Order: sequence, then C-alpha cells, then structure tokens
Amino acid sequence: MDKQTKEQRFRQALADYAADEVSASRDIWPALQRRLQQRHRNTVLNLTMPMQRPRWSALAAVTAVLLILGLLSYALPATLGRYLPDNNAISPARTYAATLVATSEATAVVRTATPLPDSPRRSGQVNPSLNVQAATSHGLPISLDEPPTPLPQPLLP
Amino acid sequence: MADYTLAVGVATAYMDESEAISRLQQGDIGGLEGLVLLHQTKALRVAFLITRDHALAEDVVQSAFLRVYDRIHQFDATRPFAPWFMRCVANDALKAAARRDRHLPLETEDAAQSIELTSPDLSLDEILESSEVSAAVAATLDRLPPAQRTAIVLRYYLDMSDTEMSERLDCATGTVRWRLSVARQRMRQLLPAWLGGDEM
Repeated sequence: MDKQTKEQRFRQALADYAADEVSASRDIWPALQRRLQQRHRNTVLNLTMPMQRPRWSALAAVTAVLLILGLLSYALPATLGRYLPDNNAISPARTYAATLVATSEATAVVRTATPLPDSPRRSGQVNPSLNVQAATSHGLPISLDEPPTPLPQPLLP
Repeated sequence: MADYTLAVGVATAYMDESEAISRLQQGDIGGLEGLVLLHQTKALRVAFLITRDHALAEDVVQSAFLRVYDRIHQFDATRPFAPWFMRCVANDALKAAARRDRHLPLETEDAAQSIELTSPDLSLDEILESSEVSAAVAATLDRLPPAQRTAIVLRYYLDMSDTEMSERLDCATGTVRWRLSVARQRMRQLLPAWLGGDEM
C-alpha cells in the first residue's frame, strides 16, 4: 500500500471516529448563551460593587474624601457667615459715625465758603445745600427729607 | 462527515458567515449564534480529538466563541473566519490538554485495553469494516502527547500543510515536522496493521 493511500485511509478513519464521538446534532448555543448572561451579570455586579476590587475601591475612597473636603471648604464659610456677625458689614452705628464725620467736614466747608448774597452770617442761618454738597463729595449717605442739624453759631469777627 | 455537511447546510440557510460576522461586529448577538451554528461541530471535533475529553472540548469551544464575541472588532472580515477560529480552538485545546495531562498519567488502563482490541493479524479492509477502528484510533490518540496529537489532528483532520501548522501553532516549521515525525513513528508502533512497514 502506498503512502498516499495510507494517509487517505487514516484521514477517513480519523474523520469517522470524530463523527462517531461528536454528533452533528450537538448544540452548544444554549450553554454559551447562559455563559454570556452570567458574564453580563457578573460585569454589572462588579460595576455596582467596586469593593470586590481593592485598587478601584481605594481610588474611589480617595476621590470621595477629596470631593467631600472640597465641598466643605466651599460651603462652610457661606454657612457660618449666615449665623455669625460680619465685621466688614456697615452697621447703623458706623453709618451714624460716618454721618457725623461728614457733618463736621461740611461745617469746615461752610466756614470757608463764599457767603451767599443774602448772607447767612448776618442771619445766623446756613445754606443746607452746602452740607449736602460736602457730604456727597465724600461719598456719604445724606437724607434730604430731614433738615440738617443746625450748626453752632459761627464766630463773627 | 455527511452529518456535518447537513449541519452546515442548515446554518448557511439560516445565515451567511459574512452576514453573521457583520451582525456581530454591530453588536448583534444573533451574529454569534449564526457563527456557532456554522462552526461548532467541526470545532468540537477538533477540540475533542486533541483533548480526548468531551466536557473539556466543549469548554474549550465555548471559550473560543466567547473570545470571538469579545474580539470580533479586531477580525478582518475580508479573510476567512474558519481557519482563524480553528487555530484558536486547536491552540486552546492543546493548552487545556497539556494542563490536564500534568495531573493525569499519560497511559491509562482503558487505553491499554483498547489497543489490545486491534489485532495486527487482520487485513486493512477487515479492520476498516470492523467496529474496532474507532477504538484503535482512540487508543492511538490517547497514547500521544498533546503536542504530537495536535500535529496529527491539524495535518490529517484539518488538512493543513507544515507552513500553515507552524503559523497556527506559533512555532517553527522544523518543530512541526519533528512533532509529526515522532507522532508517525509512535502511530506505526500502535497501529502496525495500518501503518507498519512503509512510511506514511
């Protein structure tokens, strides 16, 4: 028997043996589908439970701590400022003091101002618009509804 | 081989291979089902011939299909799918068989009994006609190491050349020839009625 015939016979015997052992009707698709579904479930489980992966859970913990610290540093001053007095805010007392300073400065302006045609020096009256001008030039709040406080009588020569 | 052809015919009627690959590349799991229907029988037979274990062979083939599912985007759709897939199956089966054989003795009692069933006094026709053919082939394959068994399966079942085998097994052509030569010598000892005398 020549080499080719032997090879051919052996090929046929091998193929027949394989066909005898593994039927063509054998279907692995249902089992494969189950494995795919199981793998999909495991993937979802791993995504929702990162504790099973130590490195990822450590990274997630560090990120969470940094996020919390950032939020605290942003929100804490605003929250505390709501309940604690703010030293930089303009309080009524400070407003009153600033008004007093403005009034005294306006007085100085009046003293150096040119007398009006109807001289107030003679009548002892002061033109209120001078106070307003002086206060406004210093950026201080002046109420025009109330008449300014009468200034002390200037000393006439 | 007739039943395999029938299975392929049914699967082809259901879905073409290129269509199945295209659908799988688009994320459609139905494409994988088409590929399974087309190639599972031959893949199972290759894996079984190498591993000599039905459960292990099925596990190997399932894992190979799962790898196809994962890496189908890397596959060049212009090339034939079957050789690429059979290479994966043969490599995986070889690794699985080698792993298992590290824990099991190579020659078992069953194999020794099976080989005794083949009588060297019978003529070749008588052997081919008898039911002992399968037992003789099985015993021969059982007595070969996994690497030599894989070489025999790739050459005589998948009809691969030395070059193709070296590409499929990721080893040198000389290594493939050496494995085949040693496997043939062993087979001549185990199947003297078939292969004795002249070189196969």
